Amino acid sequence: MRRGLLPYCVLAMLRDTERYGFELVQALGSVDGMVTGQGTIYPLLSRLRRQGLVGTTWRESTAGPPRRYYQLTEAGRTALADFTRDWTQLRDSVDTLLGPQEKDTP
Amino acid sequence: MTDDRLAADYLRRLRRAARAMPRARRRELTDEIAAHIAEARAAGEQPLQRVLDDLGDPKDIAATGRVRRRLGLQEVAAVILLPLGGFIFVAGWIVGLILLWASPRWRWPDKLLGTLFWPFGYAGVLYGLVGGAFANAANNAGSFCGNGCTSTSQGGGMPTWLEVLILVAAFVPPAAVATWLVLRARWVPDQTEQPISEPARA
Repeated sequence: MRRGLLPYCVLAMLRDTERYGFELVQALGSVDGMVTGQGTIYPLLSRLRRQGLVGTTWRESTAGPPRRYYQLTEAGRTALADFTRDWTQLRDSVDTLLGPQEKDTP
Repeated sequence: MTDDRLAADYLRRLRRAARAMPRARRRELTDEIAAHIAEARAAGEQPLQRVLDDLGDPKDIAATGRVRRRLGLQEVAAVILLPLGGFIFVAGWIVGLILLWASPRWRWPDKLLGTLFWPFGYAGVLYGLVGGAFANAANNAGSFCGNGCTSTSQGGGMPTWLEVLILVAAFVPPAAVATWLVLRARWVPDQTEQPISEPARA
């Protein structure tokens, strides 16, 4: 996983629902090759929070102590949308370049 | 090792690895990792050792988003001049201060610490000691003793062990502060990890 992409993957996991740390790490971990060293997600979340891309809320848990939930802020939503557009464009460009070569070596 | 011991040991290693972090951030990180471990243990789907292995080396976690960089000449000079430059007619210390505040590798709390630790730290103690030693010598020289004089008077100064103790105590804080400044300057934010498009701040 390219390090620069991970922040956007974290933002993407929060697009539709807020999640608490353990839940988020589990969800990311279930995607192949996404994270080595799950613990490094937490400093990343901290940075995204300081950059104003995610917000946090403490909520009571049915079992155990309160959980700290992360959710996308408006700035986070904008950053994710910008990235999605750039990524799609980049992917298409790379695919175009890779395409003919793939045909040469079937 | 029991699970409680295993978890406590992991968190202790994390706290140690994160010691150069600003306090609030270190607290946030250790709280989140502790919560993660507690959640995993409550879920009980995996043995704790596996959970900790998946989390990864505490050193890697603490180093996320930072890269280790060699100190620049400016930082090395500052760390040397701040504690010792005062003895070069104080000017060395002032040069050290300028280097400290001009460096982008430290943030203001570190700069403040670096500024205060010489004048309010061991310098006063050291001058007191040197003054005391002079007084001592003067006393000894001044007190005429005949051949039969068996006085074991210390000349009114401090006992030697106390001087040694103060001397040691005087050198520990500057060494600690210098080490701290080096630690802080060596870990710098990793620019390559910043998101590609920074959001416009409102």
